[in-house]
Amino acid sequence: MEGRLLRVNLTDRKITMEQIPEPYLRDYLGGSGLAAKYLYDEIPAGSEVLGEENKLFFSIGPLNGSNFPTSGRYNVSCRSPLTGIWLDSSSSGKFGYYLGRAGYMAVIIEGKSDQPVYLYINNDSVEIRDASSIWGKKISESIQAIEQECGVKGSTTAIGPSGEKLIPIACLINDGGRAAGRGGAGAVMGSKKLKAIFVSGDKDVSIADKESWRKVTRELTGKVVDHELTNTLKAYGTGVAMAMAPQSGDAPTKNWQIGDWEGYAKISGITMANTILRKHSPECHVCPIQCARYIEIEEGPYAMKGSGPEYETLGSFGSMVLNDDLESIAYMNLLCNEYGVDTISSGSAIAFAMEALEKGLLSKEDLGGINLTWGNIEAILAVLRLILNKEGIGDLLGQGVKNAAQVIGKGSEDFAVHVKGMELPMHDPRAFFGFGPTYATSPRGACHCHGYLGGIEGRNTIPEAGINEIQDRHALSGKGILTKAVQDLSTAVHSSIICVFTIYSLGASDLAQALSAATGISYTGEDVLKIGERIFNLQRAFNNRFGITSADDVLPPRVLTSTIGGPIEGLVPNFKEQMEEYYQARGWNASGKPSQAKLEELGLDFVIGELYG
Amino acid sequence: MAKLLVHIYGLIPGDFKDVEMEFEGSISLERLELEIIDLYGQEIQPQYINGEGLMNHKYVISGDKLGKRVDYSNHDLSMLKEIWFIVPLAGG
Ligand code: SF4
Repeated sequence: MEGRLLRVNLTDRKITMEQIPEPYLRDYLGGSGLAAKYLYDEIPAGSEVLGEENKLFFSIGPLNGSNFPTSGRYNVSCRSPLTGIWLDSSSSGKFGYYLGRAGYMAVIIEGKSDQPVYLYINNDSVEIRDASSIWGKKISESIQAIEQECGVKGSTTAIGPSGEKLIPIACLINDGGRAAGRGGAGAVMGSKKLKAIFVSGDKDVSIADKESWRKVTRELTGKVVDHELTNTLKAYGTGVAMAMAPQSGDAPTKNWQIGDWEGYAKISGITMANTILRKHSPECHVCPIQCARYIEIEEGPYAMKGSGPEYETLGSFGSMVLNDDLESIAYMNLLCNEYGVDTISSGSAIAFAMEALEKGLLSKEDLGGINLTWGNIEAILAVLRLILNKEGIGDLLGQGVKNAAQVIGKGSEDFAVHVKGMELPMHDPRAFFGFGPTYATSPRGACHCHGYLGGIEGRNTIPEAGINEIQDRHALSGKGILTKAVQDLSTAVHSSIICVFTIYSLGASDLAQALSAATGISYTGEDVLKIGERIFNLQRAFNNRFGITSADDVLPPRVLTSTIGGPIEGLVPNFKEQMEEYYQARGWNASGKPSQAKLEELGLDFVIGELYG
Repeated sequence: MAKLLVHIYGLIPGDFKDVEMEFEGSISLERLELEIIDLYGQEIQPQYINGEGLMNHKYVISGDKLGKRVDYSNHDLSMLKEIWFIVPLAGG
């Protein structure tokens, strides 16, 4: 088992290649896990988030560069400018595939360039190239210029003007609108004056047991293809979940206040499929699910073609702000993808500002004269443009709702819906109780991907973790244990690294089979969960380094209050009991650190000195 | 003749149905479910039908336009005009 790491120092423009130690690959796989090991070792306490000492870690895992389903994915990690703690963000497309074909498991970017640059990787040829001519340009234009200059088939991940302006919710976009969206890695890239990374390659990917690999890949692809949700996601995309909102209560509405709105159906994946959808987006490498949308709006103020909005974006620019105009949401999505900003955080910040205006905590003058009332599309667009350009009120809202509420004060903290500074994604802990401990403890702040409950709660079991019964989504016990298991599984998926939507159809033992064939190490489903647990705890230790304690493992008051109306009215998770169960399952002590015994059990002895002195 | 718009979401892979159904007399939930399963039982995923040939409400939620649950104690659904059968999905 082997993997190469490319180390690129932008300060002295030094490029070196290192072999990743085999125990790292065995114990952390790749993706998010490998990032945790390297960044724990290399980002010191007290370092500046946008300073030279923060590092960007781009990584894939043992399944990438191959024909394994959804294996075009890559991960980017750093310390987040939005939250100040751990960040990993992953994106599908083809970037991960090409990084694997170029022969690298990871690229670590350190230091800072004084001029705009992009990184060119083509097999063993690696260059830091001038990007002055595209600095300030939108993302699609920049990627087109880079790929034209490079002249070979490959993939580019890039930041837009918002990342260059160091907006803490800036993201990276690759392959026609796929996003490493959350937490502000785009701003860290901007601080290093790194506009983009282009990667191409044609090396054979090392597979330890080719015969098993062929068999396992064929079988697991079949499992994904045959799963009931594959056809549903293919037909309607992730936006299908919006069609279910009137019954599931899962779509946050009017900044998480109400549970009933007539607009859900108008902005759902079904409506999209019947109106503006043209085809499945072809940008994700070997994916039988094909949830990504390619849309076209032929005329009118929102005329566009390109990547369609995902469920998260339909929520953040739709139900959260009471906008039932699908075409305008598609256009807002396009703007975010061109400037490089996370749609969840920006939509949530606008919903927060709407409520602040309604309550008289912000004035129309504070908003530059914009009448930001619920459902006012022109106003939403105007404020979004201010966020993207870091102008006026947009400068404050682009810092995220936690920071905005700290500045506005006057009780606005009560409806700033975030955990550790990260805005909640568009799934409601009152609709699926497991999201309570999941959001409260995810290493990057409120996140549904680090514990992909959507694939499990009310739907699936995890026998490798002793979860043999499908759990009712509103059950009052068992959520702490369920959350831990789902987080461990999701973390292993993000480290392997494949798309989280495979969790519907592939379990820990399936993943173990694929990893065993690829690496030649015999993993069981239980081993896979243990690896996930190790990584999760190392990311927690990283966060402990930057001041996170049990006092930070909380939910915002808004989601511990009932919705007004709707199918989940009156339902609120028993959060305190959930967390007690969770802490016990995790083996964390009352201060929110993994216990010494737990660290020893997971082979994380090197963390003990720092956490326990 | 009473009409009911029936939404069947998440029970049939890749096919979300909005169908108008007509009934003579009163429509109980049980009668409606038997009718739906008679029409679409071949396409509905087996785990969503229980041993009695009705919807398996361990997974399937039935509710009205306002998201209120509809159960077997509702003896006449015709006043509702619309009803949903869904298996919720928290994806995305
Ligand atoms: S499931 Fe969707 S996002 Fe994931 S790789 Fe496939 S098309 Fe892309």
